[in-house]
Amino acid sequence: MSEQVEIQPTTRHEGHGKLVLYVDDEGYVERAFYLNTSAIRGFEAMAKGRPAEFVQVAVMRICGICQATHGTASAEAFERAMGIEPPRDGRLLRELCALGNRIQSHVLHQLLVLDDFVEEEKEKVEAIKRIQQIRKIGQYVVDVVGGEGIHPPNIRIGGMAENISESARKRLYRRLREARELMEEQHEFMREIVERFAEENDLDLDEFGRHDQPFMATHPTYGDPERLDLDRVVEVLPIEYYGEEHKEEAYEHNGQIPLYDGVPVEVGPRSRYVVFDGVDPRGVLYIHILRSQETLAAIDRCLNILEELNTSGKTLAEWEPRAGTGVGVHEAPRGTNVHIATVNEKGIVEDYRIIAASTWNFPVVEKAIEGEHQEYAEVIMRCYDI
Amino acid sequence: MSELKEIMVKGDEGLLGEHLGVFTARSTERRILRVTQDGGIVSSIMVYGLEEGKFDGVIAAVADPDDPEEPWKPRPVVITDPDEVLEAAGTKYTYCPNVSVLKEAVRSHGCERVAMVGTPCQVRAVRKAQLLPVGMRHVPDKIELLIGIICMENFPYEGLKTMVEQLCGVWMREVAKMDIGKGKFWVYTDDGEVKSIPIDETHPFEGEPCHVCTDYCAELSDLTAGSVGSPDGWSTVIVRTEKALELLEEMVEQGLLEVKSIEEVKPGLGLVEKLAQAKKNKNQKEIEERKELGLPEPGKVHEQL
Ligand SMILES: Cc1cc2nc3c(=O)[nH]c(=O)nc-3n(C[C@H](O)[C@H](O)[C@H](O)COP(=O)(O)OP(=O)(O)OC[C@H]3O[C@@H](n4cnc5c(N)ncnc54)[C@H](O)[C@@H]3O)c2cc1C
Ligand code: SF4
Repeated sequence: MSEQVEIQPTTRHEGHGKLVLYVDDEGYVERAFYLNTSAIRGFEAMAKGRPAEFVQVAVMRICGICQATHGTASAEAFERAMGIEPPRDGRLLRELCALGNRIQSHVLHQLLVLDDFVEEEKEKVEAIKRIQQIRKIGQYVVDVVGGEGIHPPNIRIGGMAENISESARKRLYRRLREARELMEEQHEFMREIVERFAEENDLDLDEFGRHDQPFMATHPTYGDPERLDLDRVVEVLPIEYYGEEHKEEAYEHNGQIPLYDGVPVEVGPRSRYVVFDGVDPRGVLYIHILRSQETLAAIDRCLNILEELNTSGKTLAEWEPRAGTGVGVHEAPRGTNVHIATVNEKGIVEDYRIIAASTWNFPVVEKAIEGEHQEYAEVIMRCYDI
Repeated sequence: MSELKEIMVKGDEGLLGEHLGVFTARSTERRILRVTQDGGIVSSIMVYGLEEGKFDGVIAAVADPDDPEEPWKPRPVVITDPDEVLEAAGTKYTYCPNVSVLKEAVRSHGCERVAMVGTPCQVRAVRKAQLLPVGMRHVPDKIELLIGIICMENFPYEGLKTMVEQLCGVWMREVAKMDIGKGKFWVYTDDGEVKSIPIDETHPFEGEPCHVCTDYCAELSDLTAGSVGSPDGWSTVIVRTEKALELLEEMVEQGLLEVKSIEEVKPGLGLVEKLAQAKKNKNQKEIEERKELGLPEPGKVHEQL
């Protein structure tokens, strides 16, 4: 006999969600529903009939935490639609800007999950201080490179509106070196608290929250539409996915559910490691460790970019509108973010589609929760940064 | 007491704005005086500040007299290399949106200690942004020094061009320097020719906002420089903040500035006050007239919202 448990709202993550769990007599989850309760805002509909330049800026407002990824994926989509080639330095700066955002977003999530793992006040405060210092540097990167820490206006169709000065390059380099030191400490800390948690709760790190869904990622640090076969992607309505028998849950899930080859796929830090490093850590708690490791890698990539960057290079291509369809893909902190744009010969948007990173992971979270005890449902959900 | 403190005098704060003191000065460096408008105070401070690391960026107005399309049209620039400061020297009698690159200085240039030169209205704009940094996140605390320039009026570019080309009969691209003084608008050409027209003839070309502007001495600056009150080649300097005073004292000590009491020179502080009063009277009248017509009062528009 299963009992139904509802957790609403789910807390300490960025989005809005609700968990509906069917649990057995001992409290183990037989079936989980992780429902996206963010209101539908209609960005896709809003884009239609508007100029590409406007839409690329507007879609950054989809998310208040990772705007850089939406600005970037959108710019990429329009560039492919209209055959625009951003200059090398513009492309590098764009990657740098979004990585600054990845750094701050990743550690922000570590702040949100702190309460799952740490009880002692002092330990917590120290971690929060460290995290905020790292976030500040991540945001500084976005500020300087993107022109503004929130909704960076320098990201444009054709590249980046501005290059950075030589002194800004040096300053960024110095600050990122500081971030690297802090992040090494933070990485060590994440590993420790996750392992301690597993031990204290008698959980097998390799098995806890395990699921057998495939992993998807297109690039370790940027995004690559060549690695995403859109013919294999379908977006289904919740009612189609959950079926009539769960229509109550289905109607509470806002938005569509993207599937790859007909099944849910995991995206995000773990997927990027699975796809590009060939590792296969199945236990869900590993995501925390990999997110942390990926932050270190993001800092390293930022430093590389700063070495490669020519601060007097051109960053923005001139372009004329032309009709076409283009796919822009960017690896957001939370996973593969896809924007698909169709424009007419005047550069007016005729069709626009967005598969935001987190939407892939909603059905995966359910799979990870199923089979575990209900007391861990939120802990598992929070391994994903939704 | 420092040399500067000894010679500084105070004027009417109702006209000049709050200040610690006023004096006359000029740069001791010929390379600076050769290209600057008056005593080269603004440029000297920028060079010194950048060289000493007090500023890591300065905002000024650069114009290219040989620009084929719009000769002498200034554009605001962020300068981080002291060797480039003099490229921006000299007065351009047309609007140059210096404030528009302030954010860029802090962002893509990564500056943390910015100095900006600006007309009184620009200095006001920056102070407002510091009070209420809408769209200026992380900018307010990065402003190290605001250098004001005394300003009676300014001209839109097309107006200036008409004054120079039609009234003075000189092509813009032949102009080496422009100046206002002794009741006239002066144009100096590359060939050493000097043309002038009475200042009255320039009034029709003034910018509209200047007619409701009552700030002559950039009253909210850290320090203000102008030509009025001091002899040719010298600048009148109004010091308002301790920070600015310290900087100027250092420069005097190091022999970078030559200073005199403004009481020793002609025409002296009285003229600055007279002109400040004239601007306030004239433009306050215009404000009253506009109010009578039901138009909003400048700077108070928000009160009517
Ligand atoms: C529009 C205008 C009107 C003025 N009216 C008067 C006046 O009525 N009475 C008076 O005594 N002085 C006036 N001045 C100030 C005067 O012309 C000199 O700028 C001042 O004396 C400083 O001289 P300096 O030798 O120290 O300047 P410099 O060392 O030559 O430096 C001047 C600085 O001002 C910047 N600048 C030049 N033009 C502009 C502009 N349009 N907008 C913003 N920044 C600019 C330059 O880039 C440079 O950095 C006016 C200046 C302007 C720009
Ligand atoms: S007169 Fe006033 S409004 Fe006009 S340029 Fe000068 S300071 Fe600005």
